[in-house]
Amino acid sequence: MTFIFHIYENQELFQAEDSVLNALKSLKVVFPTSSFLRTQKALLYYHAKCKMTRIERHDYATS
Amino acid sequence: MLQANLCPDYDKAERTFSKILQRDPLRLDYLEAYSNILFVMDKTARLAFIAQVATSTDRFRPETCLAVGNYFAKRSEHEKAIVYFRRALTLDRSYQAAWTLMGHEYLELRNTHAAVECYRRAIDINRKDFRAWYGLGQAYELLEMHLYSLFYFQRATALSPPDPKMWVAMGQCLDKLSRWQQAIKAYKRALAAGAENIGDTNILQNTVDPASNLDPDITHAIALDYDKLNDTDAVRGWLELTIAQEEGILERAEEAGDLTASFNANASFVAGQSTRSAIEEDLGGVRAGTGVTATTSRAKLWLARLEYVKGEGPHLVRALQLTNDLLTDGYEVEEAKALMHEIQGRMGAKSSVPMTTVAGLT
Repeated sequence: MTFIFHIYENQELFQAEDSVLNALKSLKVVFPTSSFLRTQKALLYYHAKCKMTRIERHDYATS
Repeated sequence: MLQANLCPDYDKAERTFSKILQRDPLRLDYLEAYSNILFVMDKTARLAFIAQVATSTDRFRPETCLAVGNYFAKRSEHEKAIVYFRRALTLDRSYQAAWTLMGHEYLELRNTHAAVECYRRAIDINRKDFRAWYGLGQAYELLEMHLYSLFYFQRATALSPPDPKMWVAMGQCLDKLSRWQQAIKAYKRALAAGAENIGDTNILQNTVDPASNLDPDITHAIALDYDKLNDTDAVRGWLELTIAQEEGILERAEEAGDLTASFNANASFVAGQSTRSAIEEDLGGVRAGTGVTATTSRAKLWLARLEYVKGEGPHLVRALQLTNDLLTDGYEVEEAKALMHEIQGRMGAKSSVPMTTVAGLT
């Protein structure tokens, strides 16, 4: 429940960070078919925009 | 392959929402975010479909009204969109997304006072939403109250520092206030935030890796600001950088003859075997050059003038080269022709310039 609260609050405050993504992943193990979690993930991608892209690009360049 | 100017995250978000809709077609929660994504991605047909599905599920949900409003906004039917956003707000007064979107629509209709009112309501509900702050800045910009808009743009950038659009808006605003130094700083932040493959670039400390891809409009704006400060050398540097953006990292690397040197490329690339498109794909959507645009052409003309004013042998040749490029590209043709005549006139007068070079260029 705390995890869900953490994700929701971060979403409300537009804090798209890796910690939220990790929390989402760990919750996904417990609730694999939850539409709420999927929505939150989509929102995370939506709010993250270019910031995430840069992280991925960086990962790509260093891999 | 993704379009370079589109952040891939929109794509991922769209796919995830699409999956959710497939698994659970009656779920309307956060549908407004999905419709916003589709709006940004220019997927009008899908947007219409979403609006249809939502209406058939429950027409008295604010999310439905927002999706339909977004659809009308996409079709530039702003009055109808406002009607639907209003409907959403009747259903839920504290629906922040609806206030912000209604603000956007009023801004489109040039009803700035109504827009300001909407954005203020949105901010009252959630002070962390940079879009509402940004909208307020835009509204005051339309009203030519630049100090006000500067304040709001500052708020927006504070909430969303990695977004180059905010920094550009702030730079333009500072331009209007004649604060050139600060404007340059803001533009540089925009470049730093928006640049791709920046390599060793540290724009804030004025070291630019020539292989980095930057937005030519911003570099041109920086050149304009340096011109106001009468710093000709800096102007020339930024103009050169603007022109360099015509060629992407790929072209520049090809010219250098070594693709891997300028980019940490992959193992599958074998020189001479991969096709160009395959290389582009391998590089994971690296932005190619912008090609010839109005901005780079303006930069060329300006640089040609500067070189002409300098008026010595190699400078004149460079100026002639630039005007020649302009004539081939078909931008600013008349002015380029006039300048070319002047340059040729001066070159003809000076015997120090080898005429063979000139003939070869013209």
